[in-house]
Amino acid sequence: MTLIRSKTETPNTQKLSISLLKSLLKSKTGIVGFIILVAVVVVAIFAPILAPYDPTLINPTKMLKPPSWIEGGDPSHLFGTDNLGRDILSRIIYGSRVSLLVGISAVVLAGIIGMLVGLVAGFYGGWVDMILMRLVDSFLAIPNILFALVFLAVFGPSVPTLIIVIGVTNWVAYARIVRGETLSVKEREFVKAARTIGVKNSLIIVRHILPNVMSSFIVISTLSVASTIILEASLSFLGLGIQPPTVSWGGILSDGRDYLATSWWLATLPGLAITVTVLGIIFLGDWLRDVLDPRTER
Amino acid sequence: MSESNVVLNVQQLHTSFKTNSGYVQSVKDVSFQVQKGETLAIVGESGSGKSVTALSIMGLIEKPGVIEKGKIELEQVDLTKINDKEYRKLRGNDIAMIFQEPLTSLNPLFTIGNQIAEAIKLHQGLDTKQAKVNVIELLKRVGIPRAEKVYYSYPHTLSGGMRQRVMIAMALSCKPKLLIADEPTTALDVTIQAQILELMKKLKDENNTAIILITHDLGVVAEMADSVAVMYAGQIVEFADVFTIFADPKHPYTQGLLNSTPKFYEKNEVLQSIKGTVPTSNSMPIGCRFNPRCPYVTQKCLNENPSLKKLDSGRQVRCWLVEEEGETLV
Repeated sequence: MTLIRSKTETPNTQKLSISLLKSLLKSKTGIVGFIILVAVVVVAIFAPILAPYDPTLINPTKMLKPPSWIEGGDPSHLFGTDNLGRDILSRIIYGSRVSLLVGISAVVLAGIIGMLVGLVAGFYGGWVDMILMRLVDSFLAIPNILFALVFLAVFGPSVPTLIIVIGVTNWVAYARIVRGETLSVKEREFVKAARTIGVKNSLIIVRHILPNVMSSFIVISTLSVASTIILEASLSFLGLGIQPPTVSWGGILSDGRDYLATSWWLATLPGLAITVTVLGIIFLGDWLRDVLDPRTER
Repeated sequence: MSESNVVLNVQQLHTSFKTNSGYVQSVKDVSFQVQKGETLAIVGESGSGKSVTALSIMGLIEKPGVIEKGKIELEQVDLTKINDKEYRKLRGNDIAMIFQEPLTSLNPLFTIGNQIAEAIKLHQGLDTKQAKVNVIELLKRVGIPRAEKVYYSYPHTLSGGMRQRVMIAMALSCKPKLLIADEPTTALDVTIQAQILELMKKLKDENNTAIILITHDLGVVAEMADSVAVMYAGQIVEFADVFTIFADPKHPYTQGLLNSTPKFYEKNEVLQSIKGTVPTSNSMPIGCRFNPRCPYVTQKCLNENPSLKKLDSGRQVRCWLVEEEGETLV
């Protein structure tokens, strides 16, 4: 009888964190994602130490210098300079702060709202579901960018309002997906079984439904960190995002669009920063989803 | 048959589901009693209202379903009159249920121990450590080897038979007075089936639990039951002790059911079947509900629905063909 894996023994919290670390080391993409994310977070925290220049320092003598490895590049500016002679590397380093903050907090906010609405609508059904889903529909009917423009125009663009506006426009996607998953999970036998032993509805949601909808939730959350950073960038492009002198990746990206034909590095390098970060988050999310499912071998 | 031994007393239970074309009755006029330590088998085809009866007792009929009338008394407490919170206290504590699908009845994301402990913690207010001792004790009682390890295992690492044992352990964790088993062995292979039935028998004898066994497997009935209620189209058509049912079935439907089971000594015979299907709840025939499929149908059967007649021996039959004098129930 080899029905029982001995590995699943002794799950106290200390050992759990060790086994989590072990499983991370086993997953190649997981470790890559982890390293990327840690690197970005470290860069964001230690930006003043790491950045070679002040990101807002204008230098009229060194405008639009290409990266140092390209002909005509200035060795003192690794990633080149922009149209005002500001150091791109320093701007990207400082930009990581705002982009990470907005990207992650807005997703967390949207995720929490969407999760709650989706769980309640899916679990209780009936008129509760009806009202909540019509609310979702009406949110879907308004273009995100329009809603964001109105909101930011009224409350003024700042980091907190940006987080709120992105969170409030994006929760509907989570609500829909979580509701759909909840509908299927609540029909499963173990939910019925929990009822027959007298478990309360609220406890059924928390213990039996929530963990089972978590895996798809994590996947869409990690993906939408990416779209959030992009949305922040497009708002910056429209002039309603993060206002100068505060630097964000989206801001640098939209500054660089005007020079795309002549000075490609202006838009490409912050774009690359966004891509790499998002990739790291997605890798980590993928690994996290696998780890949270006990059926996948650790 | 003293009154105090009656664990469950169901009287004239009507359960309906509201549809666009009005109320559809799934269970009509169902009455039975279960004594302490007794096993009552409810048999019938799919759609005969067995599971709806069980869910009515558990109080788990969900909208659009509703218990229209009738009494469900668990030790003199009418379950149709208590509120949600009181019902939750009863579930798992006084009445428990096990399901057909052991493979999906456990949450895949939690360990076995965690899930059984849930019931114990909920109803007995024990902390995790005390609950663990109880759970391991329970797992041992339902015949799970290496219970300490299984406590920390996830459901996917166990076989179907083991999972059904776990479900039984969970159902019995608070020593319920009544256990409802909804086709507990249907999804299991025959050898495991026998083990699970043996286990249920043993546990019943130890705790004097009353069991309602829902099944369409007459082999299981013969093995387990003390008395049998045969259901057809939402009604009980015959009720008797297990020996009487098998030796002398009175209702044509019961006879049909028995004829359609393979017999050991009649090899090479073509298996008989009851022609036709159970009528759907919104297309019930006038008169006896079995009349479209009954081989002995008479004019009377087409016009009037017979009532459940109590015969001398204590058995009950719903059929016009049963001529014996008897008190008319309902």
